Amino acid sequence: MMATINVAKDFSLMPSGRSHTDGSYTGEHFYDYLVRIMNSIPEDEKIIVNFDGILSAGSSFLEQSFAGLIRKRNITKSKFSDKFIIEANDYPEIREKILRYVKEA
Amino acid sequence: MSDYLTVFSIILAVIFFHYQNLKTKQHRCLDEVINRLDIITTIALNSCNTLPHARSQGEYEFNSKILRKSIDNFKSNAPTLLLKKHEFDTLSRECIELLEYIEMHTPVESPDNIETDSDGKMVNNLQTTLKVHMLANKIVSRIYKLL
Repeated sequence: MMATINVAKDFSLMPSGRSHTDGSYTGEHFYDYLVRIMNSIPEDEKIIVNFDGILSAGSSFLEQSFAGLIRKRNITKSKFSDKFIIEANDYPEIREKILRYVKEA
Repeated sequence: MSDYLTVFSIILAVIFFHYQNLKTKQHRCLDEVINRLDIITTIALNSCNTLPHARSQGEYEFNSKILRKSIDNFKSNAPTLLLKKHEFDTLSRECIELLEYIEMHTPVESPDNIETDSDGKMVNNLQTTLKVHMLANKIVSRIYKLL
């Protein structure tokens, strides 16, 4: 079984910003959303995060939401790739950025 | 013999006009890329120099989206005989590098990205603005090299 998050449909077409105070669809909001999903599914279930269809995704948003999971110890770096499958066919650099931010967190 | 010459001339004329058409489209895209780069760097620099430091209210996102689109158009309208794919890939990568730097090191996406002093002013303002200029100028010079 896999849980799928379609960022464009389930969250925002243009997510950006780092902190809650930066707007309604920021990295911290998406971090909270990811944590809620992680807590609602079995531990061994994978999560697909699909960025297709979004207009843009800010780097601060990506860093805060995904590297935030590592910083706040929701998941370890080594387990991140086992848990999350990042799909970004429109903007392939989104996947590269997320993996880099997680590695550097 | 003259029939062959006529057909050959027509083919040459079609190729020439097709090539000129691509060059014109490419120049339009070039103008658009340089124009958007100018707007994006201005937005980024304003966010560094205006107090209190605040995030962009959509102008940055809009212009960065158009910039990416313009580079893709530039690529698709380029006469492939003259320009190599890897040169466009480098251009695209440098553009992503500039946008990422702005999004991570200026207040454009979040004022929390920067360190401020007791007056609320950005601490490494000069270093950041110089880097933005440097990355933008690198892209512009690459575009002129491509042509």
